Amino acid sequence: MSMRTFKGYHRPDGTIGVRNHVLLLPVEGIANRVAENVAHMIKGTLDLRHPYGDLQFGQDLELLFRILIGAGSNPNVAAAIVIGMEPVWADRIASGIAETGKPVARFAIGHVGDLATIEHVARKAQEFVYGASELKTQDAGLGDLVFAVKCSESDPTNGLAANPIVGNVVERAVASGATVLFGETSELTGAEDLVASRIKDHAEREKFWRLYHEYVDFIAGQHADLLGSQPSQPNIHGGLTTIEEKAFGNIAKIGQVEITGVLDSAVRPKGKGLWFMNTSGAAAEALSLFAAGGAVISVVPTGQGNIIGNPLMPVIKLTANPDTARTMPEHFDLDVSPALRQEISIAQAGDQLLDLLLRVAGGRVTASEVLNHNEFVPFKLFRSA
Amino acid sequence: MIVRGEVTIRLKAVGRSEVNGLDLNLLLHAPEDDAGVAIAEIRAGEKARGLILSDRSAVEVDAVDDIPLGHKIAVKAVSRGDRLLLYGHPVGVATRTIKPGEHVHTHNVKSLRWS
Repeated sequence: MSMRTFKGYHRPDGTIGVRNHVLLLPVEGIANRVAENVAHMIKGTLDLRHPYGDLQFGQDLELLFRILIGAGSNPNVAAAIVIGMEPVWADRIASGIAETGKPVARFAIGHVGDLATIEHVARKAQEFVYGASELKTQDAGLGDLVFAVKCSESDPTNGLAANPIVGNVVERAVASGATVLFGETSELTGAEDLVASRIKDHAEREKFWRLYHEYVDFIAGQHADLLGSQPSQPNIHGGLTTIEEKAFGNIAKIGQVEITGVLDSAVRPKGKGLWFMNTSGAAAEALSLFAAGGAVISVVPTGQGNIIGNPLMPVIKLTANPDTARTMPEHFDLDVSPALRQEISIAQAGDQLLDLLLRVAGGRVTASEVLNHNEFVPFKLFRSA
Repeated sequence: MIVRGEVTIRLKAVGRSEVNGLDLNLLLHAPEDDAGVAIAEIRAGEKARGLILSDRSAVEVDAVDDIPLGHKIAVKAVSRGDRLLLYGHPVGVATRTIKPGEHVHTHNVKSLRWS
């Protein structure tokens, strides 16, 4: 195995990025067109289209601000341009991103119109791309990485092999000083006591229970039959029968690591170690929240084969299901089905995944990047006003 | 029939492993578990040969149903109303009596928590 180092982008706030995007960040869905047009014109830009930002209020609006500020603050972003209909919300988001010390600009479309705004944004984007291209990668180690783990389209091969392999890497990464995020609040149902017992700090454990109960009480309040949603239809097709079975497989991906603390959605961890973040189990929502919390890579073990990607970070996907690996190989960075068949050990497969993680940190593109899977989905708490 | 004992696992060829000289097609997490997961398709009438991951011991059961890859087969009898153990933990309740060798899924097990 190679040395546990890579070349990364050292940002002004001390964080380490593994990609170097100039971000075009719409505040509202109606600002998407400006971002999209400039992204077509200016090489090296990334537009983060989303449908929200209109008439949101209260906690739901605060969460949207955290997600957009977090996206712009992600260490994989070199510079950001915020594009809103009016200057007040755009300023708030731009100011939040500016705290990282990276170049930020903001433009408002109101009383200017799309066409003139496109020109202004394009000229600023061109300037930012020149600046970003001058940034040089420097030495970094496994301990500098902030990454997320999220299982998706799971089946029983997750619990038997793919998730324990991720857990093996999480154990070794955290021991090296890395920061790891995991979430999927309601999907812990059945194994929630086990997760809580791993949280040593009393106040953090209480916070976990508060967030967990809020989430499952919300679900219970809908009085819906969850079979088909939790477990999902792909889960059931793959052989998972109950949420509890899914949960025991799920938590194998955090290994035996003690949980440092508990974060609300889209909040950055306050230190190193393993952190729980309150997220939904939906892959695009969870990964977008992890990216807003500062994750620069996500590791996704999948059984039935989720094809997910994220615009802000490379997503490393692995599967232990030999049928999935055979039928849709373009979506996976690592086929760990030999570990399911007991041909290699969990630790040996962990070596392969750790090596891949560092190569991806050093610039090796993932299947999600090559296939342009850019699913950015801000998590919404409730209906708009 | 369930057989327990020490096992030798060896790579037979690419894509196949064997337990005690026979093809491995089933994995269990813990000896308490009522069912194992097929790691290759198991046909009704075939013998499921399993490895218990926590103690590396072996389990055998004759398949009554076809079991797709990733799906579960009972290695013990489970009465209606009994809890089903996987990972050494209860993960659901049997809604029908389940015989060894039968397919275990949503038709005979439901969640203890959400329904």
